[in-house]
Amino acid sequence: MANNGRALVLDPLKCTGCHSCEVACSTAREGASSLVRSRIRVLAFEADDFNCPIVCQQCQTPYCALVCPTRALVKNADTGIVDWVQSKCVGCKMCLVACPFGALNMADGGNVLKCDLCQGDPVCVRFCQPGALSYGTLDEVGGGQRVKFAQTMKQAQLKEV
Amino acid sequence: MAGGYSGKLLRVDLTAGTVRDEPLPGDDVLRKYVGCVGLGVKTLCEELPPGAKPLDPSNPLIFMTGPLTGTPVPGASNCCVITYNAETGFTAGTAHTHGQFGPQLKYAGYDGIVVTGASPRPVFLWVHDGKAEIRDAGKVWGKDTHETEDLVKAEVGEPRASVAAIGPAGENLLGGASIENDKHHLAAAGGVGAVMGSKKLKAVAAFGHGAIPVARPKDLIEVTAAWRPASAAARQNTPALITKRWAFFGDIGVLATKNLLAPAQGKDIGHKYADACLTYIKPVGKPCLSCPVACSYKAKVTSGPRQGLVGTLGGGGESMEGAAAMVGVSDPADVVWITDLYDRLGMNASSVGCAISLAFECYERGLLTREDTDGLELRWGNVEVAAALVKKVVAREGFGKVLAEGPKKAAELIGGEAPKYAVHMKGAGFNLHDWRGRYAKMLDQTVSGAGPRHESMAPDGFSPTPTKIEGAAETIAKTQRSKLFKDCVGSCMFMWTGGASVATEMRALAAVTGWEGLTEDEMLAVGSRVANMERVFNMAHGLTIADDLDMSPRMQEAPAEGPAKGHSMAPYLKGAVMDYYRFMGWEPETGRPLPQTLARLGLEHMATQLP
Ligand code: SF4
Ligand code: SF4
Repeated sequence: MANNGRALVLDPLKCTGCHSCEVACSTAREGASSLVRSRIRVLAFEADDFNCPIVCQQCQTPYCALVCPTRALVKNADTGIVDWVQSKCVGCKMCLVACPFGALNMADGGNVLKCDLCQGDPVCVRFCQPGALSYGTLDEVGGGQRVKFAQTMKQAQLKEV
Repeated sequence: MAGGYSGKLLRVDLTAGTVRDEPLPGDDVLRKYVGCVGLGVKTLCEELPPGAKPLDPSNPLIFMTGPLTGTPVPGASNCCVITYNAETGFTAGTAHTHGQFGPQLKYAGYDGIVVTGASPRPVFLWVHDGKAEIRDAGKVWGKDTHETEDLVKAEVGEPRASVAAIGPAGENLLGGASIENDKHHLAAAGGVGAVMGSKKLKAVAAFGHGAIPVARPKDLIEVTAAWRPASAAARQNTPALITKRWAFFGDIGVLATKNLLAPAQGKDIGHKYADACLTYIKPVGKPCLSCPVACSYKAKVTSGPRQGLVGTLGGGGESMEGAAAMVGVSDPADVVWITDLYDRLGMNASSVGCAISLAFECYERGLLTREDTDGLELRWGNVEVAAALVKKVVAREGFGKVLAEGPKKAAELIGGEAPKYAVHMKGAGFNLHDWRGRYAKMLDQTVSGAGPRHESMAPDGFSPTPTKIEGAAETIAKTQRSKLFKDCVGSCMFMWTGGASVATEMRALAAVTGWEGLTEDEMLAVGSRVANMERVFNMAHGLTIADDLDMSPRMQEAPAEGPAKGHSMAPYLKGAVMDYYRFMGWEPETGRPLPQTLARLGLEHMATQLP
């Protein structure tokens, strides 16, 4: 299934640190509930009330794929997803180091835990009631910000009149 | 092994200083008792030696999770603490806590911990990735619960660990002592903190990289993805809205105010607080693991004399009532401050708060003078004096010694008319709101098998107007089965607002465990089993119908003002309790479970324990 050029968008300011996305992802994809066997991770800064979800951004130039010696990671031109091909992976962990977000993990058995957008139907998004995770077209990714900015400008303009 | 379980119990003997793993019982047993209070009360009934007292080393302190704990089920964070109740002294005790502790215990590889014995010196337990160590707690003994959490995390070097700890109240064996975890949560009732203190166990820290197997992940995702948004919408998942609930409690007259003398003033206290939470108190939601709601919150005071104060509150309101409103404290920042003080000292404001408010009323009435109170002037609303008295109680110092005995005994010690003013059930605290006029809720609290607490889904607790006694007993008996079933699975009771039910929970349980052919009747029998085990246990330890009728005079008296004005439980109490017994399949005069009731639940072996 293609993801139609859509992206998993993170809004840390809305994240409450409930870890629901992690237990949902690990359950859906690994068949077991866990905070560490998840393809999405949430870092909680308790004292500062800041929580940061981190997940693969399906980069245009994926460093993980660049460093992979066996081409087990490849950017799929049709779906935009960076695919992990299990049969080619030698478990060297170079991709874990290369990802600038630290978004990749490895399970005990050596499987790379890398988000594939659930092939177009991301489970974690359905489990994020606070709305810190959304799945939208590239136009929508910046859309929220655009609307907010435009509204601020509108307010300023109305005040002046 | 069924999905949902880690498969192991941790056995800790603090007298011998040893730990060992024990496999969880087989599927046949698990299907009957499931987890949390089910497995916990079963263990208590089987393992408490005859003649043991709550603070004896042989009383097991049991931490137990359920198969849904730590999964994507909404609010899947429940961990129960079960023990011989140190507050009532003659019943089972169960307390529920949430946050991250239960899930972390399971990720660390254990479904539960059974602690027996007593250590000669303070210790804490560090449970991580399938291992457990007993560590020295000399440095943290005497510290408050929040400091203890931070110090223990630093000591084990794992900031992601979850810590459950007692404060000075538990160390000093106060009946109202609780176990606190993740700053915002208390296993509040049952005197569980005192039992932990008697074992010199200061804290339990848990963390794990493990995973909980789920038998049918696809089904679980289906059931829970539909369930979560409904719960979130029904509970209104922003802290600002949750703080408004307290104003609503005030409106309907259940906000417990001035030792229950002034229900009409609760409205003012509730509204002031909700308004402050929109202006100079900033609430920040702090969800439990896998919770779409976040009813716990940090209350950050941003201006005024208490600017900079950060209170770590729960979502219920009971502790704010016990700590603040019951002594007439109404300034919102003061409410946050003194509620937080109770949390830090590690005690249940619903219980200790009733002893404090009793003293205030006795002082105002002239029954107590400054000579009795070590010079403190107990005037309604004086937050500093209330705090000073709370500290005396925890230290069992001077007049504090009297109040440390709990509201019922303290009233007897004060003497005179004091017993007429005390607020308690069975001598203990209860889920503190002013339930008078809500007859089903009153009955729920007094017949609960684990000491006074919510054990059923009384529909009238927050009804805007008083209710009728008709039908109350049947409702309590029926909904107790579903509530106690819910208390066995591992997810939060609040998640049933929004339409979820026994059937929803059962589908989630089936998906997690892989159990085939579950029926609603089987689930309700799980709940009935808990109620009957508790009943046998309690009667074996001396409970009679007189104890179920031991609702203090103030609780039975009709309020002089507010929505419940003129409504008294007194004429109905005995009849309602006996009706409840009848609906439970117990002898109406004594509450003794009938042989056929026990047999139907597979508990016939327990009959011999009945007096
Ligand atoms: S589910 Fe949403 S709010 Fe909760 S931790 Fe994940 S991203 Fe944050
Ligand atoms: S989209 Fe799917 S695989 Fe990716 S983080 Fe979310 S649940 Fe996990």
